[in-house]
Amino acid sequence: MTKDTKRGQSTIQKLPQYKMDVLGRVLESETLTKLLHYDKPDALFLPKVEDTSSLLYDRVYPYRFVPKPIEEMGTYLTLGVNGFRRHEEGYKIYDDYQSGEIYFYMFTHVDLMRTDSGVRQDLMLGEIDNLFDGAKGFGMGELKLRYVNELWMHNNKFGVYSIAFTITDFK
Amino acid sequence: MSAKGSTAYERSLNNATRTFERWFNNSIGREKVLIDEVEQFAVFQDQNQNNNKELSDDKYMVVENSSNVKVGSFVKWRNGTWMVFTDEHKTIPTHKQSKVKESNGIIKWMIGDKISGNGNGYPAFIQNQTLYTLGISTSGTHSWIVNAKMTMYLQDNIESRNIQIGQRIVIGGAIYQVMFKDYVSRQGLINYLLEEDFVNENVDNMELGVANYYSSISSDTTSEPIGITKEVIIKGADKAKIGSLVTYEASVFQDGNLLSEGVTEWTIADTEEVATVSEQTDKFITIRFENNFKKVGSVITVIGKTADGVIGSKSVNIISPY
Repeated sequence: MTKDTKRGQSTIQKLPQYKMDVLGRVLESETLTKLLHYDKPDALFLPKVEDTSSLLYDRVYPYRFVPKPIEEMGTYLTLGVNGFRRHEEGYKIYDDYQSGEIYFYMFTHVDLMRTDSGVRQDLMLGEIDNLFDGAKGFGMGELKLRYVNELWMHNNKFGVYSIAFTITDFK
Repeated sequence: MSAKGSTAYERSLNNATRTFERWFNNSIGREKVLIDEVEQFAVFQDQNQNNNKELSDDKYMVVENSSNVKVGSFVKWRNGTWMVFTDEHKTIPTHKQSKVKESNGIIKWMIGDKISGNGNGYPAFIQNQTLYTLGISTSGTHSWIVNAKMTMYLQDNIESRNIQIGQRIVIGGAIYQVMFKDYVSRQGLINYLLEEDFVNENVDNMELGVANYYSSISSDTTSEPIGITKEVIIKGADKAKIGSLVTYEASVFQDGNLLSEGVTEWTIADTEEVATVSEQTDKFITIRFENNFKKVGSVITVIGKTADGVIGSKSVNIISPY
């Protein structure tokens, strides 16, 4: 029997929910918000960022592209999605589940990379891995690390990493 | 006879020189100017302003043979500073003739901890080279970034020669980075090709118009005593790398005067167990910081106490070696 209307939401339909939850955890992280907000080398030694929501649409974007022309050095974290598909395992394709990748794109100006606590992007990458690999509350089960890749752009003046986690949920 | 010249050549040249002088002294374009701070007369002549896309008002400047003018000279004429761009080799050497352009910007940069040109910078001739593009790179997949180009001429001197490729300078409220320099094509001037870079408020002083200003000015955060009572001041690095050996010195002041007395007791507040005392006297303490990356981010406090109980302290951030 075919159904006329679906009950519940599929993985793709839940994207806004996932993005909100992901950004919520990003903005709750003291380490990430300091590294995004403070351009100084002693970023992690500075006081906690109080108004973390001000980072949204300034240093943190819920989509891949920063639409504001960048005139000042800074550090950015943007989100993307990729490869949403029916869930596969080996040769089996499951019709009841969907999987896809949530991407984090991080980039910072080369002059800001060095901090007193180590290289800025390595600290950010470590914190994102800490927050999201194996994290529960996004779809079914746990988020699983998929890729970490280098990301360099624009004359290599900005660069760093992208990191992807696989999310799986009901269709 | 000799005043007119002893040969036909000399007579012709003297005649031409006299003709020039008569014209020069009576020309209504003749004005008193300073060329490289030397006062003299020069005659200015207009030329077609359609050159260079109407972006500059170039002039011919005629001076006597005795003038010190050369390519790269600064001419103070009326209220502006003009830069000498050409120096014509006259086939009949009765006078000198140059082409001048009005400087449209003062460029300042740091030389050590001082601003170039004795703090005043140098007049420059700057032109946009962005041509038909937007000045913003739209090619990226993650953001648009500023990407304008400029060309700049500066007088060739010791300070301007030492501007390095990659050096950042302020032009019109934006930061540009030197990508290419050429002091051969136009001897006396240096031509720089610049690409727009990014403002970093932590190092650039945009108000003063000097890039990398704050990183060039050494900031000694160790405070000097200002109180009138007895004080202990601990001097040493604010930041210590893991794996390093760092010395902190204690000075005791009374009413602002340094005393010979030292501290009798040293204490290190170190919750992360990163510091080990290597050596200590009443004047200094040497601390070794554990070479363990997990300790990066910790903060210790070095405390010195005198025999009569006056305390001084210094907080030290433990930082990464790279």
